[in-house]
Formats: sequence, C-alpha cells, structure tokens
Amino acid sequence: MVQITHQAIQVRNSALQEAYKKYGGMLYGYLLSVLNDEAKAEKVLTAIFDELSKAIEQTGECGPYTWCGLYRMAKTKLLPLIDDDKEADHTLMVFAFGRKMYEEMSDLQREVFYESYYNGKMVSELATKLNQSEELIRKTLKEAFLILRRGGN
Amino acid sequence: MEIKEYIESGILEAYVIGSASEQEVQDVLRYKEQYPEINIALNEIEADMELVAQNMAVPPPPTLWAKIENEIDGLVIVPDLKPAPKVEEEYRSTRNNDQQFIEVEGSSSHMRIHKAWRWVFAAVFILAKIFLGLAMYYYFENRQAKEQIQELKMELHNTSRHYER
Repeated sequence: MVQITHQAIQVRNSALQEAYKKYGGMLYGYLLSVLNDEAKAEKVLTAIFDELSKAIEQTGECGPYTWCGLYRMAKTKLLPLIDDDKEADHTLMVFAFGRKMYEEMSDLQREVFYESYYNGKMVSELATKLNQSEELIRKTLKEAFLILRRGGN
Repeated sequence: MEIKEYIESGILEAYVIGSASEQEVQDVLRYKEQYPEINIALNEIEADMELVAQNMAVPPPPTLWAKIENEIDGLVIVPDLKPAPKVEEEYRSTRNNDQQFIEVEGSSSHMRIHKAWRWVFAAVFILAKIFLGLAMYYYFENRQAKEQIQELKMELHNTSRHYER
C-alpha cells in the first residue's frame, strides 16, 4: 500500500471533490431512481467515494473518472439492494429519455433498457426472463441506444 | 474478427450499461485497445449514457460531501460535529417543495408536472365553459331586451300619434 502523506491526502481529496462536483448529482439521481430512498442513496454514494479513495491509496492514481466507470461501480453496490419484486416504474424512463423518445421505443426495447439500467439485470437473465435469445436482447438494447442518440442530437 | 458486426451486435451497449458477462467485458476491454473503431463506438455509447444520467441528476444534500470527506479521512463523527441540521432541513424542504412545482427538463422540450395540476387544469376548463355559457346567455338576453324596448318604443310612438289625431 502506498504511504499517504498530508499532501497526498490533499491531492486525493481534491480529485475526489472534483469527481463529486461533476458526477455527484448524476450518481445521486441514479441511486434515488433505483432505491427511492434518500438515506440509502446517500449511503451508497458515500461507499462509492470511499472505494475511490481506497483505490487512490492503493494505486496512487487519481482518476480520470468517467460517468460510466462510476455508474458501473454504483451498479455493483446497488445489486444487493435492488428489490426484484418491485413494480417497474416507467415514468423514470420518460424523464430520462423524454416522452417522444420513450414513445418511439417498442415495449421490448423499454423493458430491456429498464431492466438493465434500473434493475441491474444481465443480458443472460433478461433472455431467460423474456424467453428471447441473448443476441436479440443485445440488439434490442442497441436499438434503444440508437433511439436515445437520435433524440439527443 | 468482423469489427462492424461486433459493434452492431449490441455487446458494447451491454458492456456500457453493465449487463455484459465477465467474458464479454474482458473482450471489450481488449478490443477497445486493439481497434480504434471500437473505442470510438464505445465513447459514443458512453456519451449517450451520460445524457440519460444528466436528465435524471438530482443535487445531493449540501452536507453530504462533508460526510464523505469524514468517512474517507477516517474521522469519527461525534454528535457535536454533525453537519448543521438546519442546512439539511432546508435542503430536504426544498427538495420536497420542488416536487410540488412544475419541473422543466433542461435538454428537452417536455415538462414534468405534479399530478395535482390536473385538477387545476380541469377546474380552469370547467370555469371557462361556465363563463362562456354565461356570456352567451347575457348576450342573447341583452339583445332580446333591446328588441323589446325597440318594440315598446314603436308601440308608444304609434299610440301617441293615434291620440294626437
């Protein structure tokens, strides 16, 4: 483990604060939409930055942090907390995509994106659940992203 | 390997959203180093994902960063050092109040409206109909009254001429 000095602590904290400023709101919004519980969302957000801090102590590297890297970290921490029986709340997707894009999606595209993004389902799990091939699930996910891109531009 | 086919397969999207298998993750990480096209495609998908997250962003409580700093610095939080509850309360009440108002999405032309507004819209609609009905009623009433006055005037005029003779 890298010995952490006072100066290193400052560098670490400043890197983490920078990441928090840039992605804190996005992470908190995502955690809230999945957990629907402010206290739990705060706890997971704290755990994410705790892990980042430990990673800096171990490797000495401060980022660069990307949204997707942080999102995947959040997802790993969320998986044990996700309630599988929870009813799908598609209004979350309407807000995330915008109504026009949401309505452009087929039911399968909506379900695949929702289950992957908000419920942490793997492609293999979705294939079994929806009785479709893994290939089709991946293609459907790609189509959902294409709709998102068309609407975003 | 057919790069185009690989990009079209949706594996990159599954990787970005975190639904790919361990083997697929390893493949993506290897291929993105080997093939610039895959790296470019991956960056585009990551930008799309960031867009979704931006649309759903919620500012964390103002005292949360202090809590995180305490946690990562390994400090013990004693009750006296708890971040000012007033700031926390203000944040919570603002967040709760926010839910009562119309929230406009920054990057799209859609609005997010609290459900309670539907009753307001329904009431405005009904009131508008009532006012329209009343306006029409008084308009026709007024017109009829004017016609009656005109008729009475004519009658009075005729009667006075009759007596003059």
